Amino acid sequence: MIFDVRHKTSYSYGSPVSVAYHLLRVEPRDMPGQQRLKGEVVITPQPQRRLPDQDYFGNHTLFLTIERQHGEFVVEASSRVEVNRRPPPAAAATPSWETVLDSLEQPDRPALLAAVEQSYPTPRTPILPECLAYARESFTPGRPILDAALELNHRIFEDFRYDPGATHTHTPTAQAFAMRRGVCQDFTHVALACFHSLGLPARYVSGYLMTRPPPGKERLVGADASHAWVSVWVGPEGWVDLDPTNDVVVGDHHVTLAYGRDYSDVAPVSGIIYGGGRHKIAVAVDVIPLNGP
Amino acid sequence: MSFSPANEALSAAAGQPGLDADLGAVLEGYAAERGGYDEMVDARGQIRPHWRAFLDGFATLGADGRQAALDSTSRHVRESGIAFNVYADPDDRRHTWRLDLAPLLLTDGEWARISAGLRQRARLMEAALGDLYGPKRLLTEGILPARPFLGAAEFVHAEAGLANHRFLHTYACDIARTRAGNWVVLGDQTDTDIGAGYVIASRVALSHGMPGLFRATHARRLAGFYRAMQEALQAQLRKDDGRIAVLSPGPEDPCYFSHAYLARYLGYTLTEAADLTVRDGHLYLKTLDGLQRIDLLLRRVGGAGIDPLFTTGRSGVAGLMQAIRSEGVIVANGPGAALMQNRALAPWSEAAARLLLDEDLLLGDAPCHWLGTEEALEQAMAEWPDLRLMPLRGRNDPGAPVGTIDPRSLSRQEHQSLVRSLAMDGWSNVAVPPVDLATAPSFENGRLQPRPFAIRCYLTRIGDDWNVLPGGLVRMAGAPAAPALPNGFGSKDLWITGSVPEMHQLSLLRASIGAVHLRRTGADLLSRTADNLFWLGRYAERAEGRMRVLRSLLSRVLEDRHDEAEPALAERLLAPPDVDGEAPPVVDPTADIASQAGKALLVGPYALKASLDHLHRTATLVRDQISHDAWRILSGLWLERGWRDEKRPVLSRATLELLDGGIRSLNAFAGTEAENMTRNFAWRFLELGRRIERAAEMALLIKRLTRHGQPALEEGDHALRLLLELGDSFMTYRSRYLMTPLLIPVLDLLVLDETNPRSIAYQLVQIEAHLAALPSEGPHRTAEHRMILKILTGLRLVEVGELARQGADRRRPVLDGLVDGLLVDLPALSDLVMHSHFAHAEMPVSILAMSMQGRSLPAAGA
Repeated sequence: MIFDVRHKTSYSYGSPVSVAYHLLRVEPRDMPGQQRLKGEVVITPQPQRRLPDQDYFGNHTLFLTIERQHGEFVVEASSRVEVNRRPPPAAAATPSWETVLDSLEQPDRPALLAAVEQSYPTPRTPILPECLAYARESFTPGRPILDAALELNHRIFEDFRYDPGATHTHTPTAQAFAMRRGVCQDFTHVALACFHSLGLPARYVSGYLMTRPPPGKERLVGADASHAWVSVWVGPEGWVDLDPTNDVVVGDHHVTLAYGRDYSDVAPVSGIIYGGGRHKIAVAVDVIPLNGP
Repeated sequence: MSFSPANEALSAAAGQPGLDADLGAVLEGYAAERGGYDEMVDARGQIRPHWRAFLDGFATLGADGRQAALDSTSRHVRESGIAFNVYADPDDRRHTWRLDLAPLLLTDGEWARISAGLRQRARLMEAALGDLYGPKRLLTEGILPARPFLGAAEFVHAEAGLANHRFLHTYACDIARTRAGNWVVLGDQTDTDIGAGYVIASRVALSHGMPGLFRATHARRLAGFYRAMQEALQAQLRKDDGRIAVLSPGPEDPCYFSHAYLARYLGYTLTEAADLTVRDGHLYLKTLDGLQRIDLLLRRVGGAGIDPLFTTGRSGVAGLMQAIRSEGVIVANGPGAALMQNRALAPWSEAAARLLLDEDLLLGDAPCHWLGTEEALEQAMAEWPDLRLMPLRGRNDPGAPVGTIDPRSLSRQEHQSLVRSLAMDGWSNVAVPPVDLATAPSFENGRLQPRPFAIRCYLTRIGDDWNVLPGGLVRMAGAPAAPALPNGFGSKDLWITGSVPEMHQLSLLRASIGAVHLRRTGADLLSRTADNLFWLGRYAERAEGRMRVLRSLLSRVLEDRHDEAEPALAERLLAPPDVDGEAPPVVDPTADIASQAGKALLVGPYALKASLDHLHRTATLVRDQISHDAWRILSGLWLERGWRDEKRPVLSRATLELLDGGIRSLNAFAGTEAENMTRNFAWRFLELGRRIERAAEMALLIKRLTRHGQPALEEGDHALRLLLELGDSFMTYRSRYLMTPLLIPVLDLLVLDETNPRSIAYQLVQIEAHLAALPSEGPHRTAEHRMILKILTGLRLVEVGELARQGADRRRPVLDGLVDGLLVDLPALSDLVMHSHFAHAEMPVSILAMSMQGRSLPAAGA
């Protein structure tokens, strides 16, 4: 499928900002099963410096500095992306999770090393005994890894309540786990904490999900949201993306923006500003399929 | 003087005649006490040849000479402020740098062998960093486990994948000689070369204490190493006018002394993150006159704390990491260099050297076990009591040693919880058997005694090779064995001895501290430094004012002139400046002058003790701006124990002498400022602070002495006398008027006379001149300049007779109005100056977009 993605983030400041430094990750990356056909990022006000780069994980970054006084900061990223994911491997045919764990002992290939790097806990996804116990209910001895991961994905969907008021950007994973509530970011961090507690590689994926309007209603402009899900390493078959917020295997309706160890690695817009007072943020996302829904 | 072999000298101590008794006394019992390898005495009990010249000279000094050298060295250590924590109580021995009078001597031949090993190790560290942040062969080829490196918080992802990137520019390595006599590595310091400043300061102190001995041993000087470092750093900038700065976490850091000392020694600007800003991909310094480009930053801040946008820390300079990536600035060492501080390399360093350098490792690591596997953990449990547990992430600073755990010291419960946690995070720990250390002589209680030790060695990059400092930080150990560089048992200087004298080299210190006290002239003064200089001036003046008041009151009491120093007057004069309302202060009838003065000396935020603490703190912040002598004066003042002595009776000659000494010190400080400081902006800000404070102080004194309870102020009134005394103008008055004090001439002298350096008018004239000379943005006068012109003109228009005129209520409306006006205007002027020149401290705010909230709306078919 081909999508036009529009992602607009607007900050309005209570008092003027004299200097601002921003790090953006708003351009969808190229990867197997996804190709960015075209795109642009429009910044208001015009930055003094724009420095495109790639981060450690190969995500597109855009570093900018705005060195004149401003009261508003707007990032509008537009991309045309073609998504054509390989179907996931048959869950029962994947190796047991213990076999995958053993294969990590000696990472003699860069690809395997890249997976190993994603098996370590991070400040946002620490090793939590309660997550380990929760994960072990699905990761029973000898169970094929994807089979177990799918069940875990399903259980998070069932056990956790989607509740945008319950958490915020900095809510610790342990707290979200204890409340069994949160948004996609919390669901993803919980899933990561489960995989990492077992020592299995899994990474945080940021992106977009095409939403479907209720039957008979028009698509509302800006109604879509930036989304997050988890990508898990299943052995020789590589990475499989699972969306615990929606209990699905990620298919052609998800557009990947970036991936990393946790939210801190992929935050679409972050920055250090001088001045600014209280600020308000508005985010609007549209994911429009080019060849009809 | 002839030299005696050790066994003879030692037996001389046992009472044999005919040998040098002094050397015998120094060496008494030495040979018997040493255990394994000793640096001074060999296995047969003979003094090693390279110690002879030193011991000869050391003995020649005699007991008195040694004591004098010890005193001189200790004084230098105290006055130079070689303390871990600049805010600590100077009498707290935990925070004092204890420097042994006896250096460690190593021959240049042995040092050459050690240096070869150190240089190879530096190359290994650079190669390992390049590999771990690049192709990662050390991991894919199975030499190193991945987790302690890729999973470490010190791994700075943003520094990976850069072409031709150098991580290390300085490197320090902790080495120890084992009891068997061979050298091993205890730790690698790749983040920052912590403690380098202490080495120079120790050397200066010791070579001052024993100048002849230093020359007699032909010990190698340090200056050449630092000059080569300066040249090598400069060469990297690829331009002549490139600028280098040192980034320090600030005075709260235990090693701040070392940072400040090194910056000064090398002639680089000492900065903190708030002084720096990234613009257009380059790094700049915020100065009084705008932004100045920095080409290389010598980092003394942990790598994780340099850029809040790209690294995990919240502090730092936003955008610095991107400036490094786009080669707009060099940061030395690279922010990710701390990765090799990781002791997880130690077990496999030989294999790593073979893979990356294709060389055999010359200087190997002390035994070390990484606890990341079950087998290693089991093995460690088996050897448990003989091991020490160390976290991988430990920094080992001279002020904050790495925490090691001795399993023998744990209770059964602690032990069980440790074992449980190691099962989870064993990977972030190593276990090391403590290394049995060789000994070297330490001078204690009048004689030399063998003490275990280890050394921190320092290297800097010269192109693709490395240069080793011919010296180091020798740390003595409190036990025969140590798992890491010991801490807390004192340090020694390291002298590399040669058979011939070294070619003469000029000390960099002498070159930079010599005659010119301010290197930075002109407007490249840091805004933050200008701020601190301003407050230094204010605090110095405030402390002096408090001392003068106390001295005048106490001397009156001690001379039995009680009528001139009743408690009510004392209370008024000693009251803190902000509780000076119109109403007369309530006099505590029970409080005598002694208790009031005692309070004013010691208790509360306005006490003299607190003023001196502020003064010292501010002086610490601008150490690189004031002359060495000025620093020593202020440091000596603060170190005076009397200020903190609560037992000494307040009403005593001792207190008077203390105050006399304090006033003398502050006058001497003002003298160095007047005579030795270049008339640049730094000087102007120091002066501005001083003049504003002095004018306000005089206005306050006049208010307090002419208003409450002193309405008459007749001829010879003791309040007038006191006013002249506190204004240090008694002699001037006497020489001018040859009569007892009268109100009008006193006010003329202390308020309006522009030639009296103590008068209010004089201060205002000076302030006006300084403000007129400061840089301003446009052609118009600045707000603070306009304000001082208004205050000064108002004062000049006053008619002196009017000042003394009393109204029907016996008040003096003109004098009161003038003084009250000044007490409002001067603080407002101070605020204006701060606002327009020090508004550098705008705090950064971190922002993050909203969390991802997405969830698919109820889908038709799902």
